[in-house]
Amino acid sequence: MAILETRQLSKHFGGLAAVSELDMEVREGEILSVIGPNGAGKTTLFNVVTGYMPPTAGKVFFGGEDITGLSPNRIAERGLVRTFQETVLFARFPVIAHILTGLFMDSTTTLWETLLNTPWWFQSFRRKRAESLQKAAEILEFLGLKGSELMLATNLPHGHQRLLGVGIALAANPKLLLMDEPVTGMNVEEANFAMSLMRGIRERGITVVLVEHDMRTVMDISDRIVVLNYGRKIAEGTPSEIRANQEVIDAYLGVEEDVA
Amino acid sequence: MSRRELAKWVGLPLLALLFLAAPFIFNDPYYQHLLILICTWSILALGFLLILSVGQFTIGHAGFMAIGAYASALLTTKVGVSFWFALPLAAVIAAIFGAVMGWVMLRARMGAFLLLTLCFAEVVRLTIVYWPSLLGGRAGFPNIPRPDAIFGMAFDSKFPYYYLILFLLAVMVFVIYRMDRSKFGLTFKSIAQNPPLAQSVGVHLMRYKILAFTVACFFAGAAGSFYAHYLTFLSPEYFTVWKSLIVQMYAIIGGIGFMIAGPIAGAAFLVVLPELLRATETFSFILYGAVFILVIFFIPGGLLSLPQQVGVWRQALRRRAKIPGGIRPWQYLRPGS
Repeated sequence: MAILETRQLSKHFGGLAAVSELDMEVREGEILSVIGPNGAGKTTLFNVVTGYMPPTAGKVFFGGEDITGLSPNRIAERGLVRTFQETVLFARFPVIAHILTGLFMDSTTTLWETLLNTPWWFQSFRRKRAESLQKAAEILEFLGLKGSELMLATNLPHGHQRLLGVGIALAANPKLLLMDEPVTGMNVEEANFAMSLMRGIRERGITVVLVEHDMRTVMDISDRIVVLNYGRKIAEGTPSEIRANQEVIDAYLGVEEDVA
Repeated sequence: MSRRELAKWVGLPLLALLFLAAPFIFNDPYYQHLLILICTWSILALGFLLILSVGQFTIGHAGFMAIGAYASALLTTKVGVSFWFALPLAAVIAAIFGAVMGWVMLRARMGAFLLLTLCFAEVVRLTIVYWPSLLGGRAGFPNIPRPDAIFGMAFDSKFPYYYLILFLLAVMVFVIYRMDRSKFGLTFKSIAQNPPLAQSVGVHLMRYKILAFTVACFFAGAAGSFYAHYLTFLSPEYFTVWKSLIVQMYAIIGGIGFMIAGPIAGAAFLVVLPELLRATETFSFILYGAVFILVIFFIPGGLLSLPQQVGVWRQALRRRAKIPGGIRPWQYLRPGS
């Protein structure tokens, strides 16, 4: 079943068609990769799907509902959460605060509870805070970031910063996670760990879509691959089908020896 | 006991006691007047910092104080409401203005927002100036009644005024403290640091910005109402852009890293300093400017960060001492160098 679907989706910047009449679907529970040369419109596609940019034409459906033109926070509320290509974090927050911010939707604390609840009154403010901290600890453990809770995120090694970005998105309790180049700038060891994480995320019942340049990762992990070039879909299929596709080789992969 | 516990269980009660006992320690109407001013401007500066915590820099906060002040003055003189109803009503009116104007203005970022708040404050002031029949115009709004006696306390000396404004300040400090340590403070700060990332986890940016702005305006309105009935006279000249600028100076000089203590310390310092130097009003503006520049340049974390800053200086000097050529302090006193 398609959890995310785009119909004739287009995004133009002036005369440039970054995404052009794209029909694409993501099936529930799979790991789908979107690949293509630089400027193929992959990140634009993410921005349009998650509401950061309005599409020029076309529709986006998530779980059967039309989410075209909704604001990013509304889309996140429905369970479609993204990570960012650049390493974007909260510069003045320690690690734990990032995850707690990610748990924003999870926390139902109201303003009145915040203002009125003192320890000897009723306990809901403190209980909710304890629950949030518990969840944050679980997520950090899953990411292998346990022990660096109180470090400033900017002091973490680059690979860990990327993982923390994933952690923020995970805390937002996604049904579908869009990851924009998750292993960029990671060394082999970190990239392997990131791949095992992505499988772990899928096992938790979260569908994963990633944009990635690292062919080793893509071929290794994806159930299916969508190839974009100049904003158009030129191929779609399993990793082995994509490897054998002449058009993809011409546009992006080059000679086949490079891939293997 | 750890230092933190010591500060919590000994430092805070001592500080609270100091605030409560202040008018008895400085038992002179003029000093008490200064204490009252410190508390009033602290409320404004706290509001400025609350708005800054969602990443928006306002220089029109005195405009909302003016709304509260004139609303309260009108309610008591024209409608005939008691001060004790007029005060919360004035705060609510300022908060409503804050919510509506916030809804309009908070869409703008940084510089544009700053200009919008400036314009709004000027519009408020000019409305007062050019509506003499209702608001008194340039000549001022006279004969605002003193608050009625409450709990057997008549408002005939500075004492009840001081405790009233101290109470308002305490309420605001409590509200900010609770918000700062909950989901709300975290959300505010996340919006200030990285709006798209905050949005990606479901934060409705405008809703939280408007919340912070409205809370700040509510207390600015309450402070305005107090101010009106304390002075019993209002003039548009009390709420010029200079007032808003000085309010942001209080917060920045105190230290914007200190959500609560910073604005209060800054207000106390800048209200007392011209008095210590026996400065005239004109001179105190120059003094404020000089202090502002010095603090920004040498202690960018604000006065309350002085202990850390001294550590930075000492380190810099120690490093410098090993290098031949001597110490050139102006190169090394700046942090980060």
